[in-house]
Amino acid sequence: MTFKFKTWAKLVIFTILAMFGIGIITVTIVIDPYGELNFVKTKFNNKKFASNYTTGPFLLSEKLKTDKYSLIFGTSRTQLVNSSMIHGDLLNYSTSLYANPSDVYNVLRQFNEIQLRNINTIYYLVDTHVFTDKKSLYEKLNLHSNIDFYRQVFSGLNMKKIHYAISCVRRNLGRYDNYLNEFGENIYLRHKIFNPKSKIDHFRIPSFTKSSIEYLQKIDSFCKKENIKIKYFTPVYNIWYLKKVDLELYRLQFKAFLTVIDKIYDFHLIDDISYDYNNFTGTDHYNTITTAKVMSILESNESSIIINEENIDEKFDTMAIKIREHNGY
Amino acid sequence: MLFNSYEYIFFFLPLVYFIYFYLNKRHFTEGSKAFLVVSSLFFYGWWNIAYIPIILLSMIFNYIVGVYISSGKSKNINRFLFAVGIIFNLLLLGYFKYADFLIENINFSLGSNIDYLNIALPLAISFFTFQQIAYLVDTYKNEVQEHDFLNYAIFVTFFPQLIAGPIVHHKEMMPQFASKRNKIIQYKNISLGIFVFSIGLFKKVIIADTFAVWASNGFDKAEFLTFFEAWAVSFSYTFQIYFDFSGYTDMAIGAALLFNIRLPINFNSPYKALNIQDFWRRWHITLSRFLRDYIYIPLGGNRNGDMSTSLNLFATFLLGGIWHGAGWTFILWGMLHAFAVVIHRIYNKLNFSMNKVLAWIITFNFINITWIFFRAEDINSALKVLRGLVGLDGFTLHPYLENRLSFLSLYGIEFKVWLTLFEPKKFILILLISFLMIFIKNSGELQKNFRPNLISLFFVIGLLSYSILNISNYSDFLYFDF
Repeated sequence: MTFKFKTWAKLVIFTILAMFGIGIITVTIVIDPYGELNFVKTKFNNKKFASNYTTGPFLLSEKLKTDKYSLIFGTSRTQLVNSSMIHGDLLNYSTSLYANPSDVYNVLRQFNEIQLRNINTIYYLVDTHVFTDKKSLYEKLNLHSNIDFYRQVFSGLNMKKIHYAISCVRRNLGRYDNYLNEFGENIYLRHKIFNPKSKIDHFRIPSFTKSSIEYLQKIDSFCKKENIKIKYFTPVYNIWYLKKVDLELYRLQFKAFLTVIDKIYDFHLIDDISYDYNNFTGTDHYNTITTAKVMSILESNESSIIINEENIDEKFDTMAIKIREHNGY
Repeated sequence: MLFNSYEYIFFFLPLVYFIYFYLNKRHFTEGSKAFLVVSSLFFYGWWNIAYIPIILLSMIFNYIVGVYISSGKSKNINRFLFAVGIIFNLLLLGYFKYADFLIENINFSLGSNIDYLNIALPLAISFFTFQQIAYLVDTYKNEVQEHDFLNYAIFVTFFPQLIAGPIVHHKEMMPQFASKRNKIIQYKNISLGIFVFSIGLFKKVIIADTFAVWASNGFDKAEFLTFFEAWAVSFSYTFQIYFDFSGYTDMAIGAALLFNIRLPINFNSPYKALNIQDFWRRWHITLSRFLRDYIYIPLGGNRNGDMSTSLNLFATFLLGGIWHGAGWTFILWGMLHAFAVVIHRIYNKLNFSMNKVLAWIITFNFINITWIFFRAEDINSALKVLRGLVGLDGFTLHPYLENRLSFLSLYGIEFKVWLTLFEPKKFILILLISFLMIFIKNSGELQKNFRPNLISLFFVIGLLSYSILNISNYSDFLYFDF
């Protein structure tokens, strides 16, 4: 079947426009899987399970214009942190922004005076794998432009968003174990438990990029200049995972951190947590109770877990001995 | 503004198209041209508005010099003006692109401590500067007849080819912009334009951007690469750069066709090449044409014997390398290609012949390996990949293959997790598709056979919708950096 060029061109253009028009109305406006617009709220889209990496930080940062919050920047290991675990209210950027230091700095430097005044404490999870990104994915994030926000929302119809939209409807109408609230907190209703006999894969950790350490320094200087309290801390690991990692590489990486910041709360191996697999949900992730324990220790400013330039070797040597001495499951 | 963005596809391109043809329909010919120039500058300034004065300065200066040269006062004055024009362009390019590289090397060799200028490279400066150098040369040779400023401004700024080519000649564009027939909507060109654009978008979004993640992991993040990883990483970049740049060119050709403008082809299945000379006839054709016409031939070409020809070839390729970027890796890349072209020339003179499959394997792998220098941030990074390619950092296969190839562990091959984000199934699939695409018809050939039927309709709708739905993280085109 052959068309006239005019008919063919019109068919292509109108089909594409119709497809994307319908897609934007149903996915972006009605289902709204990232909670960007919140125009329609019914039982099929009431809870949200994902957030977008550009619009998510924008929505969280808007809250800081009116109320006081602590902020947490981290990875999947801090997504479960919520306000009940710290003193005061929390905005959790772990799901949307993640923890790449250039992104964190990009967000901080864009805060206006009111937003900066409204920050209680910043918690920053120095999870090593985020210090390997060469370039920030979110460098174009603009926290103060509503136009930019709506541009991101309406130009963000992609496979990922469609997938999340379908999943959003399915989970709202069926069963779900967790959901994201408007503060970026991942609220878990049921937990899975890590089986240490399961195979532990570990990725080869790429080397840090120079720029990521520079950005860490920028974050630290910025917080000092603005008189904002910032606490750096590591994730907690289970002993079975630690047996598989290259501890010497970790030591070098933490030494690199300590060239630009003064101290880190080191949770690598915590006696009360690391030896019990019930505290974990997978190879290197932990559950809400463990998350709460970690935050509680962090809030108490426990000095015994602090590492700095002076004691890092001693701490890592002790950890290495403990790991070596551990037998069986 | 990127071709692979919502704002370009759904807003900028259709809006400019409709207003341009509306103005032409109402016989506001000059207005339509001015509109196209302003739109192109808007397109250019979308990245950074600070770039606009630079392109305007370059454009106005070259236009004035061109007009004075063509007014033909005297040969000496023309020669002087021509020299001033060329020096201006080279200085502009040198200042923005090579100043810090020069300082770095002066500091290194003299032990000095001169501060870097840290100048941001204005987008597309290499392209619009080369294009205008060609204009001055053509004017000096009396090959440019027309000097209307608006036409000249369109020639320099026409948005489909402004950022990364194809590098066009004044004489091949001006008649097209002047043609009355081209002021009317032509549905055949629209159909062809959409067809080629959709292929380009697919190449960029689905293939090049997928390879980009793996290439970036290997080149920028890994401390070392084992044998198979290194080959996977080098293939990833080899295919990334091809699908990225040829995808961009397809989109440029497609967008230009909507305005009834035919841009020259820039790629003709370069990885099908059976020798290095053949490769350069197929890869970035308009750059090769520029280097041939404005460097190789003026240097003497092949007119003064073998030795001189070899030196001219060497100089041309070296400059081609430097044009791509300020760094020793680019210079090394240019030199390697120069050596290969000279060796191939000698080989040809001796009337040797080679089996075609072997010739293809040698050529493809030479190109694959030399891209390592092109991509690596520095010589050490390049050496890291090269060490991996020859197995100096071990042989490790992905655990995905452990069940199928477990017998290889008898020969010392380990099965360990590769770099983060490396998905073996996807890699193998995309790699196979890419190799397949080397040998099927390219977009230029497909365009010739295009028919507005049901198959092409579904093909284009499929490519467009799938590609647009995969535009998630806008990624720049590689050649924007050059």
